[in-house]
Amino acid sequence: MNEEILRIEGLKVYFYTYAGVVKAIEGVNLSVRKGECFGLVGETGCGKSVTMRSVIKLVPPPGRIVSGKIYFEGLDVLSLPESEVRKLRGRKIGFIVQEPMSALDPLYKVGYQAGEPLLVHGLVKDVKEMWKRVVNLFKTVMIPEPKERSRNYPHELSGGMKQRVVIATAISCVPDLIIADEPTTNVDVTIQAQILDLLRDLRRKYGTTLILVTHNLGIVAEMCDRVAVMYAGQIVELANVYDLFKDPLHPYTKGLLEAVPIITKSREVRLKPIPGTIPNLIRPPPGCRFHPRCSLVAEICKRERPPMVEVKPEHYVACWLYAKR
Amino acid sequence: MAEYKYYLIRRLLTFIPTILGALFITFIVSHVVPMMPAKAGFARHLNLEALKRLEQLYHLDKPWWEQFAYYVRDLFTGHWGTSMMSGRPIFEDLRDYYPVTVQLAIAGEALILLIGVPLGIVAAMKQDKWIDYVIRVFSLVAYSMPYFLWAIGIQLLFYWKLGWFPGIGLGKPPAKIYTGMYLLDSLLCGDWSSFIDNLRHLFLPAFSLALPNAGVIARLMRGSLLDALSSEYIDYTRMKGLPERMVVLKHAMKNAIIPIITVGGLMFGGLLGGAFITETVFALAGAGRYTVMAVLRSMDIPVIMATTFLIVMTYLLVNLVVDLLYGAVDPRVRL
Ligand SMILES: Nc1ncnc2c1ncn2[C@@H]1O[C@H](COP(=O)(O)OP(=O)(O)OP(=O)(O)O)[C@@H](O)[C@H]1O
Ligand SMILES: [Mg+2]
Repeated sequence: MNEEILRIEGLKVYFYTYAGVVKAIEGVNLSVRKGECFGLVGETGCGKSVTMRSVIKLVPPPGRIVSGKIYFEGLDVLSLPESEVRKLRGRKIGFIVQEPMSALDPLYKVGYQAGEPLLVHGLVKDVKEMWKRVVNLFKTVMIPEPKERSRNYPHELSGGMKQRVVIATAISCVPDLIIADEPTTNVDVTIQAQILDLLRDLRRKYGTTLILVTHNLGIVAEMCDRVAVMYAGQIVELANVYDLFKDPLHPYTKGLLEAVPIITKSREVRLKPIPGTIPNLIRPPPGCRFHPRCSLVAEICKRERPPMVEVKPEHYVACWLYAKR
Repeated sequence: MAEYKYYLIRRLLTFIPTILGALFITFIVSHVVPMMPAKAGFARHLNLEALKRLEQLYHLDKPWWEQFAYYVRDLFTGHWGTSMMSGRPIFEDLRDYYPVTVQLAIAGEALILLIGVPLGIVAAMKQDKWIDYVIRVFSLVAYSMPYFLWAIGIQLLFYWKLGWFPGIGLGKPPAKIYTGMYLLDSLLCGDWSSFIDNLRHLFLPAFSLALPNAGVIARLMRGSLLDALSSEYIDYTRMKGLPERMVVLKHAMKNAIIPIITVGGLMFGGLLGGAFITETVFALAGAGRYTVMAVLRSMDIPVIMATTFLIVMTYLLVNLVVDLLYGAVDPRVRL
């Protein structure tokens, strides 16, 4: 159970824009275990998507992976040649993207697009067999009338259906790892529940490892085994879900949990936002990147980056409140 | 595919009212607007009997919709009148001259695509490299100069100075003539010496006609390929593990070509117009030169009308082809 499928070490990703170098990811470390559901949470723009895209070496330009190591099933991904990384994409690592609406090519039938990974990774002998597999895949992701739908074009399907097509695409080659980048942000609540059920079933069926990126803590509590909290391009806390919700350590995590709307007995919704704004990543604050917004800030926080320490078994936090100075 | 069949049928049906609408405009211009200045001024001195007979002969005493019906019938049955300049029926004149113009325009269109599309692709793939700048400067220069300048310049350089290509007139007529387009006919009857000769004669005029438009297409292709390449669905094909060759050729290129189909098709009309100038410079016996002469020498209105009719019909036909191609590539327009 504790066997590791993915390890990210000291990852740095910078975007070289005209305005300056955006230090989007600044030293991320994490490790994901085989078979678990790993949550990655954080405010918008904190670098969740960029981190995940680094895993398959597809950081969008003008971004560049500056340093760090990524090991997937023991392979050093970042030093593999492009042709080898390509064999991981779609085959060993399935990606469910944030924007299913625009992730499909308008000119091809959705069934063909969902079957493309099977074709390019040589898992089917011809297009005919591919279509047969696609209809089954569509059945698996519970698309009604799979045969007819697979022959539709993207503009003929609803958002929820397109999201299912993207999920079908991601699981088509039965990957070892599925990265779901906010799979439910753009669909309504009922479809959201259906899609989460679907992901849970798939995990049960194939034992696939799942990394779930979201800013919805409710989903994390419901789905994940362990969770990492990200802030401005760094991991600030990592623990199993139970510990994190019961006993958050980092002031940012505490703030996040308090920002979750709580419906009290009088049915009034309370929401306490974290004061301050996300820092500019071209000139990030020195020391702990969270210090300008932190209510417990100390002198050292402004100067030095806090190390990641294991405060309790399997519960890590990067904060000077817990580190030895 | 059934969907495409319906689209095709629907598109063919809308073709008919489009033709009638276009003809109606030319009808108004030719029949309703010009009144007879002579009749208005000197009616008293005219032989009214003869005038009435003439009016009856040309159905001018009938209400306008009947006149329109006769007009359409005459146009479609080839009763276009006699040219004052050549003294021959205009239909026969244009049967000789119009294919020359169409051949020139088709060759121009082919060159536009052959030059513009690859240049655009190269520029997009090498964005911001030196070759991209060279291509961008080329296309700017190409489309900022008018047809006649290109025609004269190219003729001067490649014909007068270098002598690489013949610069005046048509090539050797092929053994048999089917369509009147010598290049096509020589191919059809296998007359190779005529084919080569016509190819050489066609090159300079077609090239000068193509250059400004090729510049536009190169720019458009570059932009639309870059757009496609930066779209999320292209990104997703990479996440699926598609090799870069497939990402570009299968997905990006197919999306990028859509505006080229539309704009490239619309350009054909401009080419027919541009052919008037090119034919004059290269002394080609085409409909353009014929019409220009008709206007300059004798204000031959029926000739102008007939040429206009042919150009309108050709343009509508090209438009139809464009729409059908468009529908074949993009499922969204088949609705
Ligand atoms: N194309 C780009 N150009 C410049 N900077 C970029 C670009 N893409 C991302 N970034 C930087 O990387 C940071 C992280 O972006 P990322 O998309 O990973 O955020 P995210 O956590 O996924 O947010 P969201 O919840 O909105 O999806 C952004 O704040 C931005 O500064
Ligand atoms: Mg994101």
